[in-house]
Amino acid sequence: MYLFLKRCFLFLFITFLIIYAFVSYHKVERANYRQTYLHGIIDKHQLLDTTSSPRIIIVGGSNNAFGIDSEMIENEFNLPVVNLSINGGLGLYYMLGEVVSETRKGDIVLLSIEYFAKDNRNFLVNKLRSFPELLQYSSHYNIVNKVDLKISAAFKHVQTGILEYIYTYLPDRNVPEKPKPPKVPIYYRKAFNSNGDVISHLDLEGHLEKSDRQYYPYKYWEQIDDLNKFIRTTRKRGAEVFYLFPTYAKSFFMQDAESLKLLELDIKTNLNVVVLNELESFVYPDSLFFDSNFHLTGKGRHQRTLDLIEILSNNEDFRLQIAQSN
Amino acid sequence: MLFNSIEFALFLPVVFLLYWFVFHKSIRYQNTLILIASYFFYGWWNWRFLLLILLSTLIDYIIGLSLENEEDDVKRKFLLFTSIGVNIGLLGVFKYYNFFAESFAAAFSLFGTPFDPIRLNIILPIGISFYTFQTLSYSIDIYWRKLEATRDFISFAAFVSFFPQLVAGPVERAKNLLPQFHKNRVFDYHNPTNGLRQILWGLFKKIVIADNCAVYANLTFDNTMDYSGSTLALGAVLFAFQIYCDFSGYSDIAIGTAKLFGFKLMQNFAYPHFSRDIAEFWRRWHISLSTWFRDYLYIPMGGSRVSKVKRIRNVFIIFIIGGFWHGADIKFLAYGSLHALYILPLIILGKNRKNLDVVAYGKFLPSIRDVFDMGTTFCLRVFALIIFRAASIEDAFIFMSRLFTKELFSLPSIEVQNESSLVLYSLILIFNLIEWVHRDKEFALSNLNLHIVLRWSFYIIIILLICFYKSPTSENFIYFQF
Repeated sequence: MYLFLKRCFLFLFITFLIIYAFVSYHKVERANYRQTYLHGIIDKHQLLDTTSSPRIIIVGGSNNAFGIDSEMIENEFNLPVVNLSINGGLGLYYMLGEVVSETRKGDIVLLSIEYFAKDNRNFLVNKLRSFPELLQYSSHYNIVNKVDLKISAAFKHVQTGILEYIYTYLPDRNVPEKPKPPKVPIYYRKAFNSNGDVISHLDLEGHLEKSDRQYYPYKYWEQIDDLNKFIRTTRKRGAEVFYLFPTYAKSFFMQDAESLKLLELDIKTNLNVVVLNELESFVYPDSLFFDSNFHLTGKGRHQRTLDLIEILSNNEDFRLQIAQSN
Repeated sequence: MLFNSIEFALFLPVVFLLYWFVFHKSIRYQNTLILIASYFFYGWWNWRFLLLILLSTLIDYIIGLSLENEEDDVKRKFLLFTSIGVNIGLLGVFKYYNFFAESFAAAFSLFGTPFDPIRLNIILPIGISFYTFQTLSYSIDIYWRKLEATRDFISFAAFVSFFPQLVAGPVERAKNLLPQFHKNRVFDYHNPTNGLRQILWGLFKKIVIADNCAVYANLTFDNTMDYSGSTLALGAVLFAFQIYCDFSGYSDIAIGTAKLFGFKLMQNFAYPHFSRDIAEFWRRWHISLSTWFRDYLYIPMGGSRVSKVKRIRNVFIIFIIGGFWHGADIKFLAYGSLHALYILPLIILGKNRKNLDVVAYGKFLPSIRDVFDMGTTFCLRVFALIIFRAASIEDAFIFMSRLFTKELFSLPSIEVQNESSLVLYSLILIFNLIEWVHRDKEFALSNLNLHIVLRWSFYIIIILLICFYKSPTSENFIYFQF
C-alpha cells in the first residue's frame, strides 16, 4: 500500500513539474490586455456598486449592451439605470451570478437573455487567458469551479501555443478568405457610456448577412429552473424581476420561428415572473442590425428603447413596482 | 459527478484513502463507505433521484428475500413480475411515457379523433436504464435459483448503486458483482496500478479522441445541408470513433475505478472496430448489455436451440428491444432493426459464430481478407450510426440522401481537413495502432512490458495530451442520456 502511494506521489510530482514547465514556458502576454471590450465588466460593476438603490438593472447579453439607451429609460421612470449586459457568450450562469448578490431592496431587474442561453465554459476558458479576474465578478462560481476553469485556461493556452508551433510545419493550404468589411473600432473597454450602454456603434449603417440556417433547434430550456431559483433569491433580497424576450433580426427569426415559439410557450408557462413582452416585440428588420443578429445599430437601438418604454409603461405590475421604488 | 470533472478528481482519492486507511477493518464498514460515496456521487447531479434508486433497491431487496423463501410457483411468478413491473414501470414513466403518449395520439388522429396527450415534463434520471437492468438480473437469477438472496441490505444497496458503474455501466450481473461485496478485500499492488492505467487510457479516449471527434461530427450532423457527401462521410466516420472512445472510455474509467477498491467488473468492450463481421462486432461491443439480453431474453426464448425461423424472430426481437433500450424514439428502433438485418445473412448461412478468436492472433499484420472484412464491418457500422446520431429518422434519411451523391468522391470541406483536424487524424491513427498491438489484452495499456522510465514517459505523454489537447467543448458522456 505504501509503495503504491509512494510511487503515485512520485509520478504525480514529476508530471506536475513537466506540466508546470509547459505552462510557464507559454505564459500569457498581457500587455494592454486590460483594455478589451470584456474588461468593460470592471467598469460596469464599479457603476453598479456606486449607484444607490432603488435602480433598474438590465441583465443579459449584447442584445442589451448594443440595443438599449438607458438614459431614455432613466428619464422616463426617474430611476437610475445600470446596463450590466455585455456579452451573451459569458453564459447564463455567469450573467445571473453577476447580479444575484448585488441586488438590494427596491431594485428592479430586467432580464433579457439571448435564447436558450446556458453555461458557456469554452468561452470563459478562452477569455480567462487574458482576463484572469473575470470570475470574481460573478458569484456563481465556487472555489472548485474557479480552480477548474483557471487550470483549463492555462492548459488551453499551452495547447494553442503547441498547435500553432505544429501548424508552422504543416504545408500552407492557401484557403481563400472571405472579404471582410472594413473594421471600425467597436469592441474596446471605453466603448460604454456612463450607464453601461455601448455607444461606439451608434453611427454604423445596418449590414447583416442573411442566413438560411436554423440556429436554435427546439429543446426544453432546462435553465428555466435556474432562472426561477435566481428570481426567488432576488425577491428574498427585496428586489423584483421582469423578463423580456431579446432583440433578434427578422430573417433569422423566420428561420427559428417554430422552435422559438415553443420556447416562448415554455417560458410563459414555467417561468415564475411577469413576462413583459411578446416573442416578436423586439424583432426588427435586418437593416437595423450590423455585425450580428442581436446587435442593433444606433437607429435600431433608439427604436427598441422606444418600444421598451412603451411596454414598460403599459404594464401594470411594472408601474406598481416603479411607484413602490420611487 | 462526471468522471472527467475536477470534482471527481477530488472525490476519488478521498474515498480511496478512507476506504483503505479508515474503513479497512471490516468489509461492512467498507461497503457502508461505498454506499455513502455512491449516493453522494449520484446526488451531486440531482439528489431527488436518489429516492428512485432507494425505492428500486428496497423493492428488489424485499422481493429477493421473498422469492428465496417462497416455494409456491404461482406466488414466485407473482413476485418476479412485481419486480419486473416496478423496475420496467419506473423506466417506462421516465423514459418512454411521452413517446407512447404521443404515438397513441398520432394513431388516434389517423382515425379522425385527434387529442392532445398529457406530456410529462420531467428529466430522465441519469443511468436509470443501467441500474434497472442490474437489479432485474438480481431478481431473475433468484427466481431461477441461480443466486441466493442476500440478507445484508448494505451490501445489496452498495451493489445497486456502486458508483464506478452506476450511471453508464457496465451492466453488472448480480452473480458476478454481489458476491464481491461479501468477500474480504485485501490491497494488492497490481490491482490498483492496473486500475489507474485503465482510468488513464479511458480519459485519453474520452478527452482526446472522443471530444475532439465530436467537434467535427457535430458540425456535419448539425448542418447536413451545408456539406458535400465526402464531408458527411468523414463526419459519420468521426462519429463512429467518438461514440466508441466515449463509451468504451467511460467503461475503462469505471472498471479501473472499481479495481482501486478491489472489485472486478466485467469487460465491456473488446476492440470492436477489429471485428470481421457484425456478429463478432456485437460480441465485442457493449458486452455487458449484449450478454444481458442473451442471458435474460434470447436464451429464455429458445436461443439457438429452436428452428431457424424462430431464431431469426428472436434475433429481431433482441435487436429491436436493444435499440429501444437506448431511448423512446423511432430512430432507435430503426437502428436496432438495421443491425438485425445485418446479422440475418450470417444466421441463415450459419456463420454467425465463425469469428470467435482475436483477429490475426499472434501476428502483427492482418491478412488482406481480414482487412477487407474489418473494413466492410466498419462501413456497415458507420452507416447504422448515422441513424443513431441524427436528430430524427427524417434527418437520418436526409443525411443518407446527401451522402450517396457523386460528391462522395470529392475532397471533404476545408472545415474538416484543416490543420487542427489533421492533428486529430494523426492521433486517431496512433490510437488505433496502440489498440491493434494490444488487441488480445483486456485494455490497451494493461501489462506494458517496458522499462519503468519508458513506461512512465508514455503515461506522461498521455497526460500531457489529455491536458493540452483537450477539446474546446467538453461533451457529456453519450450514454449518460440512456
